[in-house]
Amino acid sequence: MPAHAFKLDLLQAHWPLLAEQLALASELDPRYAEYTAAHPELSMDFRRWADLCSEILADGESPTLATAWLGRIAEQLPRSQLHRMVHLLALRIESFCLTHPAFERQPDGPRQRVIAVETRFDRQACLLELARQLIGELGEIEAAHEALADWTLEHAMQQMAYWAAGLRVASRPVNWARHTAADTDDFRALMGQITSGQLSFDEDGAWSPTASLHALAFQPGTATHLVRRIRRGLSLAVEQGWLPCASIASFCENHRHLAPLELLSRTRQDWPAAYLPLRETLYEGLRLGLDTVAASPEHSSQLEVSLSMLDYAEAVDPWGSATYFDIAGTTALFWYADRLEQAGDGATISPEWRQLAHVIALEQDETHAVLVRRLRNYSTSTLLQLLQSATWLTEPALFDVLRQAHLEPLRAWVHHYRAEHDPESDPPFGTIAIDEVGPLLAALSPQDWDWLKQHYLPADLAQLLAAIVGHGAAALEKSAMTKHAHLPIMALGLLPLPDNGMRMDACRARYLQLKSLHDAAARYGAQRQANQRQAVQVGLTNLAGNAGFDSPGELEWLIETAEGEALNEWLIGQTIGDYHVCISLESGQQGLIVRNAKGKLLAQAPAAIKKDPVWLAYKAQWEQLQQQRRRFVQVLESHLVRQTWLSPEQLEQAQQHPLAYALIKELVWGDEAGQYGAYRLGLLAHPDGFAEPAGRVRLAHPIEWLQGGTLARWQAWAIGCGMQQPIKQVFRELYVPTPAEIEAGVVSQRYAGRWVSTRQAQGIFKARGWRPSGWSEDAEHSRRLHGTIRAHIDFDFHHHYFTEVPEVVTAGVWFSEAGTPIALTDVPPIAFSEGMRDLDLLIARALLHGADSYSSNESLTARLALISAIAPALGGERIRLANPHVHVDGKRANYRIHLGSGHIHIEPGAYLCVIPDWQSLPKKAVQLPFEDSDARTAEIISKIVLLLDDDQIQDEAILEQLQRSIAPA
Amino acid sequence: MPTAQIELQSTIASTPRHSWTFDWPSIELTARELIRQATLERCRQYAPAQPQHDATLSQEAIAALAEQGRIALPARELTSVPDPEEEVQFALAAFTGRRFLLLAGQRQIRELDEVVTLSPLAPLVFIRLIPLQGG
Repeated sequence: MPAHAFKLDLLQAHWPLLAEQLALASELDPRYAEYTAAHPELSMDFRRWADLCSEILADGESPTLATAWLGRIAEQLPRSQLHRMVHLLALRIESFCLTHPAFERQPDGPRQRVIAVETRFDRQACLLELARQLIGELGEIEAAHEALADWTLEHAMQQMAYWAAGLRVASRPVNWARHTAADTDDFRALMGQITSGQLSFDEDGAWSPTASLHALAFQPGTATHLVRRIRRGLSLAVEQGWLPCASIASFCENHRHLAPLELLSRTRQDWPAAYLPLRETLYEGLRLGLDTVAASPEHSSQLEVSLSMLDYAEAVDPWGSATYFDIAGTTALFWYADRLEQAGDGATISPEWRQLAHVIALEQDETHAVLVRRLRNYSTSTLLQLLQSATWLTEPALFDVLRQAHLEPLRAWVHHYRAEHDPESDPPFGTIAIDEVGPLLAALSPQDWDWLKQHYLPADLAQLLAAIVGHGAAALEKSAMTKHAHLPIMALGLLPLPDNGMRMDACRARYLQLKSLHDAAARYGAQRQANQRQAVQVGLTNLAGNAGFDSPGELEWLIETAEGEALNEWLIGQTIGDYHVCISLESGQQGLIVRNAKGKLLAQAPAAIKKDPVWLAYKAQWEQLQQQRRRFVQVLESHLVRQTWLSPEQLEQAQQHPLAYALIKELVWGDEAGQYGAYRLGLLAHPDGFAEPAGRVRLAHPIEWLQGGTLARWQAWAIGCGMQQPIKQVFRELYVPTPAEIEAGVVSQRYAGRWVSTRQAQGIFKARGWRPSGWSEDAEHSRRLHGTIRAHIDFDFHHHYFTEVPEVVTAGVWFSEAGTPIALTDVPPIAFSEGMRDLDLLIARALLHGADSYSSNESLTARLALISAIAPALGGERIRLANPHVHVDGKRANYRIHLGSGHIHIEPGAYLCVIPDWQSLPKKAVQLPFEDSDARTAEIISKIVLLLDDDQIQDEAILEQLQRSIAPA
Repeated sequence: MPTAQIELQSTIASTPRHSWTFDWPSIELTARELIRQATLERCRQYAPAQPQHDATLSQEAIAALAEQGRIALPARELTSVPDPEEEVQFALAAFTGRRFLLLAGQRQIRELDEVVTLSPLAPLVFIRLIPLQGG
């Protein structure tokens, strides 16, 4: 049977039907008529067909059109024939196209590909090209179309049969994996033919479960796609009991690279009993493969393919990252142990042995006691090697045999910690609850520490745990403070605090160290800055836990406000010679105050005291207070966004701090009973009077008032009592999902399609805690708002790093919870509002020159109206509007300017590059009632004015272009 | 001083945006004087708007804004009250520097000393220009 037996004449016979249905589905003929009428300038017929073809394909509706087309064919043909026909199209459309003169083969690297030659296009060629392109859509639409879904399964099987028989057939790919779970009789028959070594084809050259006209031998290829599919098929055959165990086993013995080793990740009890001998065959095959590679490493690639279908885990262990394969039972573990034992110290063993010694499930008879008994037969060095690839199932037994059973509680803690924490988890890696692990560490002897560090703990975790007990504190502090190393920064908060009266002082000193590291991060690039600040946040969380606080917010508040009492002496002031200095926090008179002997307020410090140490101390203290105010405001802002609860005692303490009280009394708080009010001397002041706070309090978020319908009332009240809020609270911009967003579901397009400056955007992202996420060519940024809720924004971006280009276009905004995108309506209202608020700020500040969307219809209409209204005054008949261009008759040449892009062409065609010179635009605005125009409109009007008097142009770059374009004429 | 009270509206692109009824010294005045008066009026409009003591949102405004997804006070146009005389000089310099266009009806005013006749039939339009350069 010829390889390309799938007959072209079959397709030829059915093509008229297929083509006419395609013409109807795509409304080809009416569109052709319409296109011809709209483009009288196209005199050549081929141009019309070719243009129409690209227009139909460029509409972005190819999947819809493909579905419509196939739906129509399905109405015309019985189901069995439909499958046949579509399959035929998918396999042979390119060869069939070549029967038309508009298609030819062209070399494309080592291969050849079919290309369409537009100058030979006619209706038939247009239909062929449409069919060729639409067939490519099948893979995309198969899932949505029931009739297609079972067609693609059949197609997948046909492909597999061809490949298995060693026939290479050009074919459109389908998502094969999606279709092999189906336990159809045909698929079962195909697997049966493959394992028996004979494939059957019918007279048309199609694979058939029953025909025996043409039989081809199974050709065990090594191409990955074939290997994967056959292994998947064999796994299914085992699971479903399709084929006798013996025939699968003998197939696997003869074709080891096709043996479905992935079945070994199931324990014995999970296997169908009849197939258990196959399990032994697979183990034997695996072992033989490993031995072969050990003997002749050149065969390693074959083993690699065999292993590549196993489930695997990337594990980071003390010796770097490694890939482990998931194998059930300890069989492979003991193979590895035996190899280690035989090889002795220092010998190298191929890494696969170790990778397979990663036990993910134990057999029923493999109890702890059994494992311990078997492991006792091995030397300590072998056991320590086994520990490196051990899992939670084998670790306890290894600890036991290595006489470290007393470390079991710590081992269990470490295991859980590593499983639950990574840099992206919440809380991230580095955050350690000292009360959990502290007692375990306290019980360790120096020998235990040495053993753990040498044989068990990853280096980073070892450093963090050592910090808890104070090991290497000095070196760690130095590394954090001078090198800004992130792990030591996290560990700073874990260092022991003294248990005596100095505890709070030590805590405060650590707190200030971490705060200074937060500020010091400003000197680094976006990624390192974000990482360092995350490390500081982890350090603060650790410190808060270390000092006994529930959250870092409480710690910050307590530390910052506890400084209040010490402030009083600065407020009272001191005498320096004839002068009296003090710090004033009164509103309207904040700053350093100097009075002379007569009590007169001086505008500035007299030279006589400027070098006095007391004056210098006051000056430093004032600077510190200003910084502190900024930190307070930061704390309050984060309390508002994260809705941190504070105890009444904490607020009372803050009341003792002049700076803090000035801030908290201007904010509205909410208590646990749902009462709101500004905090005034221990009470909540609200529009109707005062209330005693009940339980804890938190900063009220105005979105709650919006939902309760009381926002207007609170705003009026805040104005009435002259509140001067340190952070925007009552008048905070609020954001709620719009009807369009509710309909859209997950992604909001509210801020999409705007050109923003990357440099400014990056600054805003940094300041608001957004960080780049995703891969290098992805400019997605996200911010964690509350718990595991994150806000994300995407950009239309194809570069390496964000600021590589000066401007980018924004794309959609969405939110995720624990990494999974969620519907906009499911986002907690505060998180939604705060996420959108950041992005609104981004759009407002980083939007390029106030330019709105590049050329929305609305702005184009307004632009057209404005230009046509002022054209008579500007240049009379020398300006003519012909949407989408404005034509300007200059003195040296005539021009046309595109109303959307503002691009200028010198008639008839040369491009004239003139761009806005934003640098020379003064920052200050002229105070005149200007006509409302966007930046693009102003740019276009400026260009009209410039070109009307083109004989006055002095810019050399423009003159040069003009001379070049005009001179030849 | 002879005055002429004329309501001027610039209604070109969309809805009426600038409607100022105030006492002009005359219905015939030079471009210089026109720019001066317009700037001064603009500065006067700002003065009472600062600071925005009474700026709150009404219940109706909140409901209307919520439909659009963003509830916030309208942005303030200026952060400080401008000095009128300084602004006049700045505007005159901008006119000579061709940083904006002044149109009166079908006529473009090019010189500061050109005389403009105010008439509701010939609306005054100020249009920003942007400096351009060859690329």
